[in-house]
Amino acid sequence: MKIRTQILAATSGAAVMLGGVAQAEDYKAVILQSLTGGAAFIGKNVADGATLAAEQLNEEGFFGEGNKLVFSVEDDATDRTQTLSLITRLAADPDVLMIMGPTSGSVALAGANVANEREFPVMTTTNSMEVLENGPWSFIMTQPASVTMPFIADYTSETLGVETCAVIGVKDNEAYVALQRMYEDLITEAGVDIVSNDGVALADSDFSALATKVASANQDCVFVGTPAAQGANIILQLKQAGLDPSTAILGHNAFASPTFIEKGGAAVEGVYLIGAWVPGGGDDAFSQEFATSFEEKMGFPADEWNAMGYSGMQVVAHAIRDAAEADNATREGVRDALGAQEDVPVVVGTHSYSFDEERVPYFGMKVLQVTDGEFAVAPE
Amino acid sequence: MLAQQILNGLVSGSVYALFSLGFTLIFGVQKLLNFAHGATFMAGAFIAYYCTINGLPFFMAIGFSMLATGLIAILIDLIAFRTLRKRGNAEFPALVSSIGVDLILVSIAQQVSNTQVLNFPFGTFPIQFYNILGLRISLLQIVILVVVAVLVAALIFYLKKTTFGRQVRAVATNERAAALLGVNAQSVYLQTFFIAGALAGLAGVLIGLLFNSIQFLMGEPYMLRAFVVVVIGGLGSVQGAIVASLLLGVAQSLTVAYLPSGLTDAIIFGLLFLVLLVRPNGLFGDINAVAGGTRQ
Repeated sequence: MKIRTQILAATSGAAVMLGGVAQAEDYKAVILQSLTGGAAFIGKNVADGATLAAEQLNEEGFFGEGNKLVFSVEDDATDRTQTLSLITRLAADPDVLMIMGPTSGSVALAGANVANEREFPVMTTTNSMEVLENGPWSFIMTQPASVTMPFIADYTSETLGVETCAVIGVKDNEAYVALQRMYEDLITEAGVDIVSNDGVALADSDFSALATKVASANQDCVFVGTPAAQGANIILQLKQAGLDPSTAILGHNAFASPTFIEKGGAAVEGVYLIGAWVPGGGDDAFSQEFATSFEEKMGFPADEWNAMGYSGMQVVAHAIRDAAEADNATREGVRDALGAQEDVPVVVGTHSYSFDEERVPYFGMKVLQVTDGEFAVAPE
Repeated sequence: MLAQQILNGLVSGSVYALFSLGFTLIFGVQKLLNFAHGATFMAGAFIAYYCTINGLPFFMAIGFSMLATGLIAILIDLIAFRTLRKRGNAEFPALVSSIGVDLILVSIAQQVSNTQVLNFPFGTFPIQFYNILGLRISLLQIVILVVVAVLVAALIFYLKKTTFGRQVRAVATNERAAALLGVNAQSVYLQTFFIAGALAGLAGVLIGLLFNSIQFLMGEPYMLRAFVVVVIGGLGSVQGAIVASLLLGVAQSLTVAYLPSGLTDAIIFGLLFLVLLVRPNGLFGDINAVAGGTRQ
């Protein structure tokens, strides 16, 4: 079992060291993500974005003069046993107000289950609605497939007007499978014929047989529902196998990462995708500031999951502050404040994050296209 | 498409052969399952990648990577296996020990790569395609087939026709008798680990280059396939490992091409059980066959 813990303190507490000032409050939360294991490609990036957000919020005195968010980063290791053990331990610490995590899959579901038993708020990274069904203490941070996939499905059937499509997806991650199934259902309803449907494992890199198969078939589009680097690799191998250049290639929001263009190079030119995050921040000042500060800190550009982590921490911070301002900085107070969040400024989607009355998050999406080696809003 | 898929399968299978040969060689000589072999394979790709992006010419990076993974494999033997071997009955403890080494190497690679998928810079190897008899084949695929064929032939020659090879077979057959005849078994172990590590490292580089992807978990699927290869080929059989690797590569391509790809692993392992039912000792089965010798 590997646990990496970082305890980071705020720097804005000088005033509270002086006598005669109201006592400073520490609000304790834990970022519990998959830093190792199969979901580390999501969890590590979410944790990096969330950590930056928490540091910045403390620096700017977001929680009030002298108050700060005291947070630690823990590793769920994409492992249910470790996750359950950690949540149980954290739930026993009355100072911990909530957890941002766990990351995805059965780990998040198991975490949601124990969190509801312990009446301990968790905001999992997954978009699985089953997390919400577990009880009122578990939230999801990312938009479910029913919210995101209509953006790219409508673009496929209506804007591009394709009639046949090959689908390639990840078979061993439930979040990716859910996105792919939703896409398939939506385009099928719109009259698009799915001519082939193939699954790959997250650790796979040899797609030569699959690429030959798809390139040898006739279809108007290929939908690739995988993480960015793997998707770029699949598209590269599809092109090398002789895929008709006129075939439209589409993907979901995982492609909205600088990694996608870096790994795919010229092969991914023209690919359509949906993105909550426009690399570089697009035309939104808050997003641009995040992109700059993230790259300065980490040494590489932010991707979709980094931006989600950053945005998720904004929502968590607003909930904690609202609960504190209502003089109810308890787990119950934070849970209620979290579910009531509306129009929180974030760096993803339409830059405004809200939960509806069913605790389903909404922050919108954009259809993007790789144009001249950069992401641009796709033509309508 | 059938011929193209068979060609794809042969290229993949030839790299499986490089990977599996080292695995089966160690098993043949020591009767140990080295679970850290996948991590050695991954380390080969990582080392060549970092050498390349730091300016070392690619072919020198390959050589350096093979040398380094050979040394890593020796270290694995010294740290994880040697002490256990001295105690006797080392099979199970060594298996656990090698899993531990694997986890350490994978964790290091994850930290070094920051969990990112890496790839060799574009242009590291010329991207050229040829159409031969209706088949689309890249220069890299041709080079891989030739390199693997040469290395496999060299390894077989080394094991069959040289003093070292005779020593390997002697130790594999009966370590005590070999020692009485003056063979230094420890030296044989170190050399076999070095060869196995260097071959795994080269396989890692070739896979990283061929499929444009280097990541810390890249060894895991290859370890699973190596098990299939050594069991189908016959435990410890070098020739069996080569034939089984090529068969596995082709079977994998054809199942992806003609059957739902989600079933690929199920079908491959189904074939494994089928082979075991018909030939329990594998295709080149001699239950005592070890790197060309017969264990006493």
